[in-house]
Amino acid sequence: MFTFIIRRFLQMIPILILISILAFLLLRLSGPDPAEYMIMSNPRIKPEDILREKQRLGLVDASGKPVPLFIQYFYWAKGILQGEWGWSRIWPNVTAFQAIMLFLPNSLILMGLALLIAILVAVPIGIYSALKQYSAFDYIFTTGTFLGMSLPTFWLALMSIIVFHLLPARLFGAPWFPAGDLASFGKPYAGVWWDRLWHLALPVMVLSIYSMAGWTRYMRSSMLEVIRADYVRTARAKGVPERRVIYKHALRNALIPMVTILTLSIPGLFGGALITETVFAYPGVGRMLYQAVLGKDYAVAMADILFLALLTVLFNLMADVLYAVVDPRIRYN
Amino acid sequence: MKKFIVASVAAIMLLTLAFVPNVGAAQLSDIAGNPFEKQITKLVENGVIAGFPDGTFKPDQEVTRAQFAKLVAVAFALPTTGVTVSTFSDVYADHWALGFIEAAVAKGWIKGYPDGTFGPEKNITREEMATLMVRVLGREQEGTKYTEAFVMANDCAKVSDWAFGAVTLAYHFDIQVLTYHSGRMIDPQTPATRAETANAVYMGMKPPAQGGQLIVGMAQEPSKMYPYQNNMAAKSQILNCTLDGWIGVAPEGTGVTQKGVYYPIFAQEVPSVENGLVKFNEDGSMDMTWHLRKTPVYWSDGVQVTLDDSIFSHEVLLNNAIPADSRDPEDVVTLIEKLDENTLHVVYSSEKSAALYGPAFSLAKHKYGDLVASNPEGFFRSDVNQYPLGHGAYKIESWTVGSSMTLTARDDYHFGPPNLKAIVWLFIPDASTIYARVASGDLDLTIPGIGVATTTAIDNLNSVDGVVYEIHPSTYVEHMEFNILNYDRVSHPIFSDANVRKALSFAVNREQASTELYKGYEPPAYSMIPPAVAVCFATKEEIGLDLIPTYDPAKAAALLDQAGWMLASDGWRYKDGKKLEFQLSTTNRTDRQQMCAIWQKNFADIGVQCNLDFKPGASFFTDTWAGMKRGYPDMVEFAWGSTDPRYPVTDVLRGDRVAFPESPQGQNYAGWQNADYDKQAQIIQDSFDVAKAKEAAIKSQQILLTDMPVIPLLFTADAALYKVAIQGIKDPNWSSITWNVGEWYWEY
Amino acid sequence: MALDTAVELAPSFSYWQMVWTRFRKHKLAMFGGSVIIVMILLCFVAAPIITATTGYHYTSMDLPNRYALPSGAHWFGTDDMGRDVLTMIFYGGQVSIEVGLISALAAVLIGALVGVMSGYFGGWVDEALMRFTDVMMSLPYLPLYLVLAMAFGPGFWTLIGIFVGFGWMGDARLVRGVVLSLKNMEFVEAAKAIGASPWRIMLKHLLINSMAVIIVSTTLLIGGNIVGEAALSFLGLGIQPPQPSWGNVLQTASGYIFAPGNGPWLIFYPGFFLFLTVLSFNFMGDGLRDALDPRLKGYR
Repeated sequence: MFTFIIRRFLQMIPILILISILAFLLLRLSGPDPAEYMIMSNPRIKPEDILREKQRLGLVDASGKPVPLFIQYFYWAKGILQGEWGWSRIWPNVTAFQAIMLFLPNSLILMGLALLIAILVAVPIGIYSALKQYSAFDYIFTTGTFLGMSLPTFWLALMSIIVFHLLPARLFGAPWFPAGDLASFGKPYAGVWWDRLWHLALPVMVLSIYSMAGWTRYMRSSMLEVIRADYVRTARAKGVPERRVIYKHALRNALIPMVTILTLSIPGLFGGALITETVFAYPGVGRMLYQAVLGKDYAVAMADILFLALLTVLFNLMADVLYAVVDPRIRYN
Repeated sequence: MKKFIVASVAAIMLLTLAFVPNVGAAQLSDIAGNPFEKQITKLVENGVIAGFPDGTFKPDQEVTRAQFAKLVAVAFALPTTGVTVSTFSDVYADHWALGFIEAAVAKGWIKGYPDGTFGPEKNITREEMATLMVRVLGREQEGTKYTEAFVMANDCAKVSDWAFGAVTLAYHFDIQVLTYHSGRMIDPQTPATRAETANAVYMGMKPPAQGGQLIVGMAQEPSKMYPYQNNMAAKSQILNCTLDGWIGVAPEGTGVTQKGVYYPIFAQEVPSVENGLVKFNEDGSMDMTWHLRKTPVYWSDGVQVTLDDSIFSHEVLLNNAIPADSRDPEDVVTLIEKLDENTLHVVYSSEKSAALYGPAFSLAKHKYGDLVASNPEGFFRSDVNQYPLGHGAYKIESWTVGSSMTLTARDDYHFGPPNLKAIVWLFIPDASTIYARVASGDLDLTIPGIGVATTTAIDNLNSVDGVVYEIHPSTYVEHMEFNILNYDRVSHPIFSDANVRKALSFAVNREQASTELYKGYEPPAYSMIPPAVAVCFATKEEIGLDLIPTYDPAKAAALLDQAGWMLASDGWRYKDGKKLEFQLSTTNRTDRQQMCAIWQKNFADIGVQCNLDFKPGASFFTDTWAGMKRGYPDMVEFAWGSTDPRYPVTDVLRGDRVAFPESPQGQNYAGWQNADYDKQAQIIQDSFDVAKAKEAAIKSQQILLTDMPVIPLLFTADAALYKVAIQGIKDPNWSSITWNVGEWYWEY
Repeated sequence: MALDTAVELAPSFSYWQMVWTRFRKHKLAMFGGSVIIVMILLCFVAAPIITATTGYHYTSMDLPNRYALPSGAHWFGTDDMGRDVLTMIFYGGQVSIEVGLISALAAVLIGALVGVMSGYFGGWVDEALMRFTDVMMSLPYLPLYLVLAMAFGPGFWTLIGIFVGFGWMGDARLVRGVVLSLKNMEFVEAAKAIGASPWRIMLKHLLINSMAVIIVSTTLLIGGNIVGEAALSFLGLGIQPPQPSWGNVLQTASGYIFAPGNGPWLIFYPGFFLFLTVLSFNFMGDGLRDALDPRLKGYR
């Protein structure tokens, strides 16, 4: 088990290096370099200031000759390893690392809540659907999951703004839910916990629906698989009461694959969060990445991508490990 | 019984009196559009003041001292009956205003002249009115510390010694009984008019409320607050609240007739050739003398602002280790010296009109001096980027990066405590979300240009109750730029011919775009200098009507024929077998797409195929320069603008602003070079003489329209939306709406 | 189990007949299939007809008639440029469906090839290909989409490249699984024995037998890629106007929530068509899975 984890850990490294090279090259090739950006935003800049800035950024050497791209990459990678993540271009006075730390808590709150709600809804519905297979309940909810999975996140987000913000505002004079932001401003209750929750309502709803639909289906099929398994039949045959069969034997085993599915879907949730945060103007890492990419904030964009890649790889690893831990049938060597 | 009748009659009379002015207020024929219309109306409604029997108010009529005494006595309900003894030798016992005057005397509001007279039939001057009103407000004592009129006006020196305190206080944000006359003048000895007295009394009865906060929505977030780098509209909006300077620019008038007036803030007076503070030397250099006011001003940490701070700021700006957007005009300063504690002498190597704003003055030496000296890089990364120490009406309290910034009022502010105690800036990247927040009442104000889109404001004009939709001209000119000579110095196969460029300028139907898309708020442009740049704006006639591009497809077609592009049977034009076809690139802003659809059709009408290419704003503007290297093949459409009523965007088209591989800076995307134009642009940029600058502006536009490297399309407009209860907003066409933020207050 | 395998091993006319019979019984799948056919007809056939008869096109603007509410002339009203919303949606659907189809087919093709090779050859080929697949699967997609779209310039082929580049891994794994289970079967051994080349065996026998898996995942992938296109275009990094796609039409529409008249509805219509199409592909995928692979019936 331990060697398995170590091995998987070592396998992460080439993946991360690959991603970092990819991200670095793509961002550098995708337009002007940071110094050129400075020139554009400030046409009256002096040539000597440009040179100084380029030297500071390691784009040209002391004699003014351009530094090859792969050497730039090594400098950059060295900086990352030493904890110098570079300064953000569009956020004030923060390094890329600080920028991530600034926005990450907001994202974690949003995603955590969405995750929680999705699980709380998906697991019971999935189980019940499986137990009552072919019932009206099963039929309705199975079809419902299709609807949920097919709803484009951004459309759902926009429609929820129209339905819960705009229409009530027009019809009743006040919106039911805010259309974005972290919290109210200028109200006595600004920033208290329920104000935060109130602002989170729409984004969390939108973000949770997609996961919810997928997980309901997984839970249902996982449960179906288990209740047909031999040991469940055996338990039933032995005369174990049905409730006990379901909760003691079936449920536990059906939840095992769910653990993996949940773990694996967390990095994907960042993708969903990117769109949700963008539409709702919610200051999280997803929207930060979008703004950084559009604003050519290389340091932040690259740090963010690396961070998400690391997260993805870690969660993959965690899924494997968890699976090994919770499922005694799996052996690793 | 008799008593009853008398009482009844009196009651009826009182009722009638109370009622009649009400009718009168609605009928006053000559106050519409008066700056004090609201105040006059309110006073008339309340029976404090009445119109004339002929239904007029005569707002510009002068007011005698006796009349003003009556106005004050009535307004503040002083007991005026039973007075028989006069304090003053020239007010006789039978004077009609005796009761009113004596009532005010009893209150200590009227003191008369030192010789014991009152001069009831003399007109009351503005400084006298200010004195009286400050006494009414019980604030006279506060004024005793002033040894000059400490007012952001151009004629402080004219104020009488005895009125220093009163006039200063009269302009304090929480009093505002005096307003500025044209030219940012106090005109202290000018008689007050009926309208002005009405305003003063109204303000005395209902002084600006101290308190409350303002929530502002803005699409941009500053990347840093350090004053000399990464300058952008969002930052200057906030810096206007937190920083003062030597002088400021106030808007005067509205719409296309709005003009900018310079006024002193820290300076004693605005330097000019006339007042001798600007001198041109024989060697071409320029001397400027700056007087700091005698009244001390303070940084927000309580330390006094001195000339050393200005010299220090100047040095930081020239420090090569510290990045700066522009070191102009500080880099041509050959001498900067302190003559005494209040006098600064600066020598520039050549005439520089930008020096009018004075040497740099935004960094506090006591706070940053040691750091800059020991560790410039450390200074550049210090909290000067987030919380720079300022000397303005507000200070930055907190900044939650990515969402909001809160400013708090400085109650120790040298021009009096600002009324709004906090200003919260919300950074909302999406313009339609900003409008949503206005509609739901979350936002009190949106910033023009970087707030609600002009088209959104036009489409929804006045649809939210209690919100003012102010759409005014901006300094930006929407235009097309041809890529005449590209980054690699290759001439454009089609557009290097000026006739083709001119043909296209006659082909576009600006009127249609103006009326159909902007309901006339953005008028057709005929030069690159819009009316909002008031100083240099040139009318059609001044430029020459024959040069003005108008919609004339026949003329466009003729010019193309002349250039050898002939109409073929398929409806398109060809020359040497090559089709007249090009790409027009611009941002994907909705109204730009709409506009381009019109141009595309206009071009097709004369047999020219125009392919449209829309990019998201951020990538469009990076690719314009980059993509790289002025990367768009044929032509682009966007808008240029300045933040000053003085400088049109003429310098970007100078020949030395073309980016080529060896000199990549500069925003002359057209690659157009014209020595004559450069000369005119230089004069506009540097000349102190406004008349000379304007003359050069006209010439520059004549050159531009003759050669047509850019096609002017529309003079754009900006929209500021704010709650009607906010008082004091005067939005300049060219710059920050927050320029006078201290004067703003809530009045419901 | 043995019986099912036999059926699968010898796809015959009767097999496809059975599939069709089963598919027909799946009401949702039938609904999905019909919607898809109608949608394709509307976008690719009706759109040009509308243009020919009414002159409505995504380039034909009528600015004074902006934000008009639905009427006989414009069933869904007009948009910010006075264009007919229905026409915009049909033309937008063309691009969206094209991107979905092309990228899904290409991704499945690559995935199937990788899977077949990996499963058939085994050994280091399998190890290398599967390792690479793992790496690709552990990438954070959306952030990379953003960066790629910026790097290569947003556009039709960039989108397709992105969706193909990140879309083939699922199929590779699925097909490899099928191939592994088949490669020691008698018919493969027999083919080897009569001297069939490895490529012939892979393409003719193994790939054909993976068809069920491939068809189902292609169907689901098309739906997924249509949403992907819309999402990227919505972020401004996909199809660029004036060429409409459901995503960029929605992006522009999100700016008119507050426009008068038809404003808010401009968000509803294209999104609804997008939703309906994706839903139909999901329904059809589900129906196809049940129909092609009866073992799974009842499991999903």
